[in-house]
Amino acid sequence: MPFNNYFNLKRFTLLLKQDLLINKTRYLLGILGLGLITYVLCYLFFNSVKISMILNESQINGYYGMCFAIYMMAVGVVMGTAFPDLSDKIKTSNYLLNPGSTLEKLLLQFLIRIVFFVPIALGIFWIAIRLAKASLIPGIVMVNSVEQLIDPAVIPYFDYVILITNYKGKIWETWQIVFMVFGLFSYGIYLFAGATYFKRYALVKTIIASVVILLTSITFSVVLSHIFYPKETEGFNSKLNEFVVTGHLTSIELFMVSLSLFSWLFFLAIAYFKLKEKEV
Amino acid sequence: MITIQNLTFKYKKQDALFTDLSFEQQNGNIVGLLGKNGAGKSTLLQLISGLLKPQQGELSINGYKPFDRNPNFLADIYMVSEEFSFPSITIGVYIKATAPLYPKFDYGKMNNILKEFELDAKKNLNKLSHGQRKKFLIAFALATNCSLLILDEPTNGLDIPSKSLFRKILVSSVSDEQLVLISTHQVKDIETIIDKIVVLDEGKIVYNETVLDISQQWQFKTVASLSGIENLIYQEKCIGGHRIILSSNLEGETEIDIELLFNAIIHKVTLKSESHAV
Repeated sequence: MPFNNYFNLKRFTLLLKQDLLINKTRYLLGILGLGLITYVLCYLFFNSVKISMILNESQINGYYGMCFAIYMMAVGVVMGTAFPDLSDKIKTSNYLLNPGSTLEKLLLQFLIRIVFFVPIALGIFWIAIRLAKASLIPGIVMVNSVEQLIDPAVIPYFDYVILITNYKGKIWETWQIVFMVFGLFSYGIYLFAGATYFKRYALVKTIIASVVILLTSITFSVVLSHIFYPKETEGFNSKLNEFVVTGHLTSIELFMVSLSLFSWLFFLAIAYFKLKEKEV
Repeated sequence: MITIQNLTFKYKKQDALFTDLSFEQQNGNIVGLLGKNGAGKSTLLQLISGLLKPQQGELSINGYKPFDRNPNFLADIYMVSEEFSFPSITIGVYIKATAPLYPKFDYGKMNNILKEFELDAKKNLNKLSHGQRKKFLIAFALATNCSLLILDEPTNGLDIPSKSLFRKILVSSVSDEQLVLISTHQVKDIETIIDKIVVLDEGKIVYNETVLDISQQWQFKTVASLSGIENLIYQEKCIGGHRIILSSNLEGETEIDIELLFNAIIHKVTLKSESHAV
């Protein structure tokens, strides 16, 4: 079958143009809303913990990390609500009959929800969290019954490098950074694929499914530990046989990196075939 | 062109809706697909458009397998569903966004039909009435110039002037290269525009005749009394007498009473004439 049946650049451009023309207001308002809410919530949060941030410098990374983690959940919601037309029967019919191949429809959502949105979202977060920090006002507070002027200017501005720096100021190891970046990416693609799998409340069902998969995996490894290492396993603990693979990686670290690096491909393939086999 | 061979389809946890269904239809016709509620008309249309996957059998629409949803196939069929939804944008933006995906889209025809239906391109689709949105959808479908147009209950929600306008526009817009499949219960709305009648009952095509053949074979009359009437095939009581179907004779053709014909078919009346049989 000719490749044109799977992907045609002109047709893909028309589909992209169609999506942007129809949804441009929604996308724009969504991005502005996300930025505004992030700014307001970060400001309220920093205002309530600014004393701790000033007096205890080691806490700063944790607070920024917490904000980022919550923000990434919101980003996950955007990814997990991909293919919005698959939520009801009428819209599904229109969507499936729209003249484009399954691959183009999948790539379109991937492009909009991930390739375009994620960098924009990261930029918005960077701006909003720095603005929130800049909006903090100096004031006098009681510290150990002594009035003390606190100046939020001493709090360092957020930068993404903070997220991969430990409290001693040392940047994480490469495998840890790769694991975090691709782990987040793979989980995002997992949520994205879930939107093709479930009809209604796809995001909630996908998250529940991920918890079930995780618990099942843990239980499975516990069972295996009890079978193969009965003397060393107690209760719900599991024994993992760790060994050095390279000079930098142990077997468990390699497994985690591999999982984060490649699982998104598997989820994308699932999304493609689910979309291809979709019926009304 | 539609070719269906030995189609079997069933919904999950239900009995088979179609078993070994076969059907063939060339382009250049406006076909009325009739059937009782639950006969499977909408399901058949969804199978033809590629929205459902048959369990068995072969479907070929314009040379494509519908469920493959080949983009060239999708660009050459348009389905107006009974229920529909639109994004909250103006008619103009919808056309600008969606029309380029249909290579044979005729913008001039679109504008003319919009004018005839008195639809303003600056109006938001979601602020139109149900009937107006339906008219827009019909206008868009006709302007795509797709080889296969599937209209599921197209006149539902249209007011009386719009129904007659719909008939006029449809007849004037459709070319010989196109096939229009209209599924409806409102047989009166389409009886003057269709040139073929297909009846679906109990998962089978139980009738498939051109309007020309029907009018040559049968006469449809309303009589005060049945006494002295020969060649009576089917009759129904009505105000002032009986509506009847007779075998045609040399007295000439009558207008087809599709409702009466449909009732006769559904009541399993044997409509036999020369090579035609049900």
